[in-house]
Amino acid sequence: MRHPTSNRPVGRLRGVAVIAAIAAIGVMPASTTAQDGDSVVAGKRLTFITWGNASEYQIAQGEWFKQFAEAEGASVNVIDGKIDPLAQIKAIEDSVAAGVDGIVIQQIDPVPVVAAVNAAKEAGVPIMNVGGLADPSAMIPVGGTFNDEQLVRESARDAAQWLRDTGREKAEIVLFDVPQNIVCHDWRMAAFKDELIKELGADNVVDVYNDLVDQSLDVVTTKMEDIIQSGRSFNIYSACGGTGAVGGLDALTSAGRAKMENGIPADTWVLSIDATPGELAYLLDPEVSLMNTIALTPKTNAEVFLANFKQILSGEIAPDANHVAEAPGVLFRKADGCEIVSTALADQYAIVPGYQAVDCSTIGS
Amino acid sequence: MTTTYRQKLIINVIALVAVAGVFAILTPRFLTDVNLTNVLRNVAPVVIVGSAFTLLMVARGLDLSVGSVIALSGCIAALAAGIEGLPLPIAFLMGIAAGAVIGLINAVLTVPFGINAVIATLGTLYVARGTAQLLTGGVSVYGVGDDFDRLGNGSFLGIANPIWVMLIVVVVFMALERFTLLGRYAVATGSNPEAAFLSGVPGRRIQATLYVLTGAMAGLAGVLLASRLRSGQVNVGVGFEFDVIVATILGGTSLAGGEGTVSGMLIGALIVGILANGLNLIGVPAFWQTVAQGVVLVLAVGLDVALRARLKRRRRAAATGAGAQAAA
Repeated sequence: MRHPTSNRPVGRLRGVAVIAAIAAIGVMPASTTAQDGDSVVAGKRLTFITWGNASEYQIAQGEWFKQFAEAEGASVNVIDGKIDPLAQIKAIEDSVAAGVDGIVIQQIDPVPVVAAVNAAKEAGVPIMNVGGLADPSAMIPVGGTFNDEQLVRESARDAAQWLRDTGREKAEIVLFDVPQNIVCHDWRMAAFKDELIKELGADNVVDVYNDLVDQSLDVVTTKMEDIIQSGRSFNIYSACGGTGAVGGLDALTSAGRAKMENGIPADTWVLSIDATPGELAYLLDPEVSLMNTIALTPKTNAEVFLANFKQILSGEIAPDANHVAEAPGVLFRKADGCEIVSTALADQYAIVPGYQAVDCSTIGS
Repeated sequence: MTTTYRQKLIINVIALVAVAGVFAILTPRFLTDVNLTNVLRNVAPVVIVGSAFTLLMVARGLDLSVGSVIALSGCIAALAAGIEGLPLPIAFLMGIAAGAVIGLINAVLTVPFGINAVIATLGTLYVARGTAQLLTGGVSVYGVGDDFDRLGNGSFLGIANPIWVMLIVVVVFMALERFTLLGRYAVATGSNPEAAFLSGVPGRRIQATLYVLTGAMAGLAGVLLASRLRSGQVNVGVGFEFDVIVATILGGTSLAGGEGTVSGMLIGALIVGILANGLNLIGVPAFWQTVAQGVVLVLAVGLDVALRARLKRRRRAAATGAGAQAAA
């Protein structure tokens, strides 16, 4: 099977490679057992502070970390960061006051939590950041950074190739961003646009709409309906998160857009990020032009985070080291097919209560 | 202070002691310097705003814009200090002044124009938040300088600065409430606006003053939070107005106005703060914490309703008894 626009070999072989890559990354580096054979986290009380439990990824990440750590004898309290830096500060302070043995946090914004992080360090509580870079003034290890930007740029190159293959000169882009969020803006939307500019030239990348949109379904849908109604022409669409993508696609498909023609997008090339069930339904729908979805891998990432945290607890990584490890995401393309996507994600999200894997019998491959 | 209110206050004090006692038993980490400092520092913004907000509610006012004002004032202070390079006291005063200006707008909309307070302050909620986004381009304001966070993260004589600010504000507003006409007129206006008017109480001026004070205190809380966060955060304070309302009502302030004290609000804020802190200390999942806070609020309002109903029954019984005596 070959990629519909780039003609690169894709499909089952690549899908197997994807799953193999996930499995390989999940193999932990040898480390971190105490001299008597027990894990270094055995008997330890740990806190995992999420970015915010508004997404299945966040819930899954926290729960997998808890499961893996508790399998090695730790006890873990997962605290919801509520997408609020103040809530994360309180969570750190309460954890230090509770006398925990270690804290893992996915910082929403690295700057506000610096004082709380430094206080935790002064209290002798090892603390590690995951998901993004920590503020340099706090100097704490980063146990895993998402590789969103790399995958987003790869997707931008796919989009640019589609434009070339279909004789379109300009990328007319609609991006639903969250500018104040580093992950959304710097790593995703800005990186996507930047890569398009590198591929096509600045004069050939036009912002039709590129601004803050509250990433809730009703708001996103309404915003896209208004853009469609305005009559402005656009051919590429993306949003920071899964809800943004699904809302935009709902509006596009209702307006008869985002269609496929002869296996390639007829009018709009779409990238989504998060791989929520709603996005997957569109990705695997042969009639809708959601071409790429970037999937976070909460189970694999939790393994990476725990492995790195154990290295901090055992002293292999200094508690104030500027150490960065990679927590990988996965890029799924439409051509990969349902079985590969469903299998990979079901394994990653199985821990989320009520998570429903994609039913390939109901979806065209 | 009415009998009903005194009863509510006593029940609240008992509840506060009980909640603290339960957590003190469940975890030895609760009654530590570090933890108690955390609790007081975290409730400080709610208490600062709640001090003025309580008097406003007593006078039958309501301000839903306080959360957005916190964001706006924090961003203005951060922009003034970081981008404009203004001295910190000026930057902080600008933040507080911005809050007072929103309070003034609320006062104008509700008092002379007579717009319903819920509608008017919902409107300024959006205006304040939108203004913060316009000024900052929707992104956080960093680069505020090393001294910016001294107010929010520093301490004086071993006590965190936000706690000092909270104590000063509480003392000032308790004095206003008990020893000035502002406090007494607020109660009169809220208890019976017609009678207050006929008695020459300048109810409208009182309400307007309290809106401005509430805005200013939200500005102060915003500056404090921005200092603590070392940045101006556009999204801070979402839902904060509900935290203030919960603390105020839990502290015994009547939804109908005419009754409530700053000290009661302080107790209410501490109950909520200790509950959140204690549940975190003992590792209760986040969803259960939200449920617990909702239950506490419903119980508080239910208590208010129950005590009022009981008072009404007693008064009716007393009136019936007096009527029967007179007939006899």
